[in-house]
Amino acid sequence: MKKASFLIFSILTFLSMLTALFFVFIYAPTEKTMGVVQKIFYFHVPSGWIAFLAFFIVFLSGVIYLMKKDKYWDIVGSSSAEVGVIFCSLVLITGPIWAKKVWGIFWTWDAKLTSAVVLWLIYISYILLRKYVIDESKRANISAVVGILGFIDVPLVYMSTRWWRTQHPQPVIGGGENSGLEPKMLLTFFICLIAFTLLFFFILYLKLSIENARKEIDYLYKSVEGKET
Amino acid sequence: MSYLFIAYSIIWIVLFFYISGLFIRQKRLFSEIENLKQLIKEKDI
Repeated sequence: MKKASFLIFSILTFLSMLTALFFVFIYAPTEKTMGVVQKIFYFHVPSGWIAFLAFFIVFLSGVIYLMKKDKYWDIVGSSSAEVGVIFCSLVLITGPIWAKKVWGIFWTWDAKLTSAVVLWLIYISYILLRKYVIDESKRANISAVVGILGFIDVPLVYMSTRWWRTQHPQPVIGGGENSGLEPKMLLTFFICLIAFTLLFFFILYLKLSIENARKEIDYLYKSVEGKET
Repeated sequence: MSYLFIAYSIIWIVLFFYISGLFIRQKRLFSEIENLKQLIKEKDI
């Protein structure tokens, strides 16, 4: 991406986040039962969906890497995993804050929350694994396998409120007959989701440019060593 | 309101520091690339 395009993309991402804030605090009505604390929903749920997207990219990159053995896909997978962990962490932080106000407790080991923590731990271990396996090819292979298998937890997290009885509420979007949001709330949610999606791709692009820069430095060091010998 | 404020503050603080960290890392790496390119140029001369 050229510098000018990246600058435009950065500004667009920033403006979309500001727009999301406007919609959350000014446009969206206050929920009747929970009050203003319900507005955590507009950042909590998109963070979760973006974490799922990030881990899906890790999954896809792992599959493509194992098929083609192209290092580029290893880099995409590892970059996406790190960003996914950040967004998953935001879910695990904002959720308990909301829960304390609404349920009176920060945490409970129900299916949804437990599977979400397991998801976070899987990708934390993915990142740690990459730091401890020195051989590049081995690291890429193991990461791909962990990334593919770890993705199994994503549908578990998503479906847990439908499959089991949980403290965590049923989904309000796509949750069946009794689910649904008031139109202004639904619009606000989608604005936030778009903003978070732009933010994810912005951060992922930054991560990829850092990894590419590292590769170029390795190549340049080899060139310097070549000239010295 | 305080719970809402705490949640949003954490989100923005975490994102701000993470993205700033990435920009700093990127700047350092780009600077190292320029230095190495300069070194290679000098060795060629």
